[in-house]
Amino acid sequence: MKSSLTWMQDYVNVDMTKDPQLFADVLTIAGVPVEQVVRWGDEIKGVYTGQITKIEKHPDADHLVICQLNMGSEMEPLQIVTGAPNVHEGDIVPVATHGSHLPGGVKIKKSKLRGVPSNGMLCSAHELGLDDSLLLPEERSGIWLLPKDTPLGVDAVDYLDLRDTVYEYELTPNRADCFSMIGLSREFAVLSGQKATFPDITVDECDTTIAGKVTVDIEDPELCNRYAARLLVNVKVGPSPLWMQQRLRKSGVRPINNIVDVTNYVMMELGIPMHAYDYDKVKDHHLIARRAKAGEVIKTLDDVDRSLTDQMLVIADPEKACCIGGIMGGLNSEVTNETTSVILECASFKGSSIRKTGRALGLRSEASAHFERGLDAEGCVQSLDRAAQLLKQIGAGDVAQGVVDVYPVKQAVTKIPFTAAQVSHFLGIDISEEKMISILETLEFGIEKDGDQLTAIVPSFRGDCTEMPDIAEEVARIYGYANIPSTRPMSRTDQATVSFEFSMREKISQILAACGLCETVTFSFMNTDSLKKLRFPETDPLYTAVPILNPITEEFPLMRTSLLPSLMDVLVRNQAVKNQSVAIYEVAPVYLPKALPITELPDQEYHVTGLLYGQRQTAEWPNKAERYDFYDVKGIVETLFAKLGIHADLEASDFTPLHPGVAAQYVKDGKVLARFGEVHPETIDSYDINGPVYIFEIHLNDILPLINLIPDYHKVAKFPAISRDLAFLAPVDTADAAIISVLKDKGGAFLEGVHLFDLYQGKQVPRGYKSMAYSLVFRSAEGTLTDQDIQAPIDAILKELKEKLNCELR
Amino acid sequence: MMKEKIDAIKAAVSEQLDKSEALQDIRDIRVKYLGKKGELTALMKELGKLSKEERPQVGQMVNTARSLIEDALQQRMAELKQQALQKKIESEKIDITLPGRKPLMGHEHILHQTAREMEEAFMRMGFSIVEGPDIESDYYNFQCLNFPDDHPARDMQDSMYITDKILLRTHTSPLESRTLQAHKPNEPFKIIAPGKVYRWDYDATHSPVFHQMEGMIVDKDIRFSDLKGMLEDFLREIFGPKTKVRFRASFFPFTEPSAEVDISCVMCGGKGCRVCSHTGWLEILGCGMTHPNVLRQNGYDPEKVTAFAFGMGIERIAMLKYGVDDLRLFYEDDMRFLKQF
Repeated sequence: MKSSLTWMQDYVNVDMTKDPQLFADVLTIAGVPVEQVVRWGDEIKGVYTGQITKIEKHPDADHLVICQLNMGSEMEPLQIVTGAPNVHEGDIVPVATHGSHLPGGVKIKKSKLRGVPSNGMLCSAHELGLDDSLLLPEERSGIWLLPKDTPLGVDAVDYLDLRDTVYEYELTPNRADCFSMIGLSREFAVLSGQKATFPDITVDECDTTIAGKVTVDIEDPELCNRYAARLLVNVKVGPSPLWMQQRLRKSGVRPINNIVDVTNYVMMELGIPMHAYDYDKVKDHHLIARRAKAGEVIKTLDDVDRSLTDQMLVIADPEKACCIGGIMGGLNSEVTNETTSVILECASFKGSSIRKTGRALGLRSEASAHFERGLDAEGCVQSLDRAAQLLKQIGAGDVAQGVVDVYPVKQAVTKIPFTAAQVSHFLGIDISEEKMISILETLEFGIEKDGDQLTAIVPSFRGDCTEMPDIAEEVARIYGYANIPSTRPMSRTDQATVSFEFSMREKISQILAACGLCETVTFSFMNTDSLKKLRFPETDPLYTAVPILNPITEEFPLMRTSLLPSLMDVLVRNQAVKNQSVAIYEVAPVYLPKALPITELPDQEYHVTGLLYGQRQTAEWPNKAERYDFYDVKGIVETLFAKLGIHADLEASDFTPLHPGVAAQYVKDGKVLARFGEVHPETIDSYDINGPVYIFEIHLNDILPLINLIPDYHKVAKFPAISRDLAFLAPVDTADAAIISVLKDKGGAFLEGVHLFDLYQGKQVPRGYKSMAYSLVFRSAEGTLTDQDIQAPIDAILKELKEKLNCELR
Repeated sequence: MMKEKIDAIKAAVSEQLDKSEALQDIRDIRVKYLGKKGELTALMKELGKLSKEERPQVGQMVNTARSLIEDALQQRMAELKQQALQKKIESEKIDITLPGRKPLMGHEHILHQTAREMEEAFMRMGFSIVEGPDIESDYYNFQCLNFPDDHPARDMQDSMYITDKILLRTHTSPLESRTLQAHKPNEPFKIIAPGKVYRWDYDATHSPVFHQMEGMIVDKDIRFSDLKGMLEDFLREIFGPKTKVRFRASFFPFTEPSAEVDISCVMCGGKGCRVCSHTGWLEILGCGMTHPNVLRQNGYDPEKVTAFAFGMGIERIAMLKYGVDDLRLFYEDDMRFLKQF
């Protein structure tokens, strides 16, 4: 919605000397948001009206002519050379004189065109700042030809109403009433302490009467609850007056002809769209508001065939659809220059139906934009009368007596009981009853008073107001949100709680970040192709994913059942920008349907997934470059489990996305708690990734019951320990876990800790063997140990390793 | 005779001390003159040969000389130690401009950090955290929130649908209806609900997945002024105590009165700049008094309790607070972006 401030002056006083932005802010804060304040004509200076008295050919240029202009009695005549093809002797045009300014910083000066002096420029509407969309195609290229009665030598900016300020609004859907000059003027008035005055509507009717000449029938009162019509005779179609054209343009509407322009003018003024039919093209002069037949076709005014459905409303004569109700008229009943009688329609259509029809047809008009918001059916006849008044006034035709008005169920009047105390308490500020009544009355609410009990009678155009809080809002927004104090709620609930699952997700995230990983946030979608690339067999339940009916892209048709595809995508994006190191994790939900197609909400479960790729450590002094390997991902899972107090057994994993030789999992009570390892080389290939990738995946629900955040506390030892380093020559396929198991088993009661500190394979050891060096720490809680105390366990260890694992002490 | 010898020793010590360069030199001098077989010790042994009268006098001379020499030795020793330390320090000088060894550090996503900061602020005000499903029923997402059946948001064009009755939630507001229904009628509560939300919109300034935080407080006598005060407290905690807060009348189906809340521009402080489109204000959240229909539809009695609710975009807050100017950076997960927060 746009409103010209000079037009607004018809209804309410607007102080044009003040910065228009200031009042725009007042409107915005009160819930009538002004998105933009546009100045019109500010830059134009020195443009006057002039009449072309003589046109001669330019002696040296085929496409130029020399015009002599009568600039009125106050100004000297001018000679101007122009290339415009649409000018004739006698035309009155806007003339930019020497030293004049045009929009866009253009300055016009005297010059010579091919040797002939030219003292200015003849202007097109475009050159005077009018957007092409507001001009008919034939008006876009040529000079702006002004009405024959235009006085000469007057300032064109004043005469053409070019100087103005236009507010452009971004209105909320509840305020359908503000989609009109009248509605906006109510807001202007209440916010500037005035009362708006509305046009005095009186219709000068002729002798003809509408009775019997036009009949109307509403077949579908759900989609059309009121239909009113007037008849116009002796119609002379032609251009509307300049003032009306300019007001329409400032409202963003293109002038077409006097009939259409008046319907649009009344729509902008009173808010209700209208339509005009050529009386003689409507069969039997009978109009029916009905649903379209499925497949019924109508050619609309934009010359496009529209195929309709039975969800759409048409206005039809007994033979054919003449108009898609509320959206666009049909060519078959269009008002043309030959039209002599017109049926004017003002009806109330169901907003949601108009919206759906418009969307289905890809067709939106200023009228449908008005209807979509839901209009005041009570205003139909007033709008018809206003249009009739204007049409008569501008000489477009004579108005037949009477109105045909089919209005089966009258719109109910809403009454809202309230007290000033109630509203004050709800808002948290004392506002007097008197003040409230004054605000509401300026907004045209009726007030009934019975002691303290008040009743607001809601005006028909305020369908958004139904209850006391609506009254409170009207009072508050006009009183000013800024004038309401800031208080703190008196609440009986002060204890904040958070679920165990939520706090564990937070904990896990913090641990993983402390392990050096960066958290990602990815979209909740996936496609089956990624699951295939990750080598999940097609029978895997992961493929049972929730499909989206209207996915945002073809790449993301499903709700994800695994985070791995998302993390692989992150890796691909990072590799594309040459990031050397990717170490990431995400704690996010996956969506697991109970069955497809879904009839109930799917389960939503959190996964904890991470990925390592490339350099753990870049070559940056003093560090050498180091690449991530399996033991990084293992270490992260181990650290996470240790921090969460989860104890589980390690085993080889058959998780299909993983390299079978570099795949592990932690298991407890037969349940896999974590899978991790190197991504299968085939997957790496299919993603076109350079080098190995390591991943882990944990299902939060599996580990939640095992979490124990209280660490296994051990007393700090009082007595010194003895440590022994033992290096063994072990067959290459000997597992560290196997040796550790022997060390722990035979290490005796004093063995406190054991860890591998060196692993070597190479020249120093025979083929088929490796050297594994362990550090063993013995300690007693009772006293200081001697070498003798640990000799027996060491002997037992050596014996067992030799016999069981064929490991020799080096 | 003895005096000359003593003087000679003193002179010799002094000369040798001057030449000394290392601590060992001092030790040698001490041995040579003061040690068990040292020259001054030898003189002491000769005291016996002197007469009774001379003995105390010479003895005193020797002792005085001994302590003088000892002092000189100590002093020289201290000097040499100081010199050695000085040398050591000089030799240990390093290039402090070489880079520090960086500990391996990970980073939580800035959206997560922002959400947590908001959650903590609300929890200090006594709000509990609740969560709900991303795949939501039309019933909780729209119907219980006073959206009419034909509201534009319920069109496929704006939302992602799974079936005609199930969709990806378009806001975190279903947690209002879910939490109301999870309580006994008219039971008071204070909740916030962070989470992912979805819209059918994908361009430079819209993401199909983004994050919101909903909040709601229900109790006897909750007033519009309370909504103002509480949100002002919250916004000043997040954006700093000097932040100006402005409430504008607005419209949401599930609140009445409704407001959009602006804060003074974080970039220009309200003077007007590109970020705030030269208005000095930035839109930050929507809020309002809960519509009586919402309370009724979810089993509460608007005559007995009142409520307010608010919702805000976590991305929006993160962008304004940290100056991130492109929404897409949040979901591209470029390591160069992730590592900065």
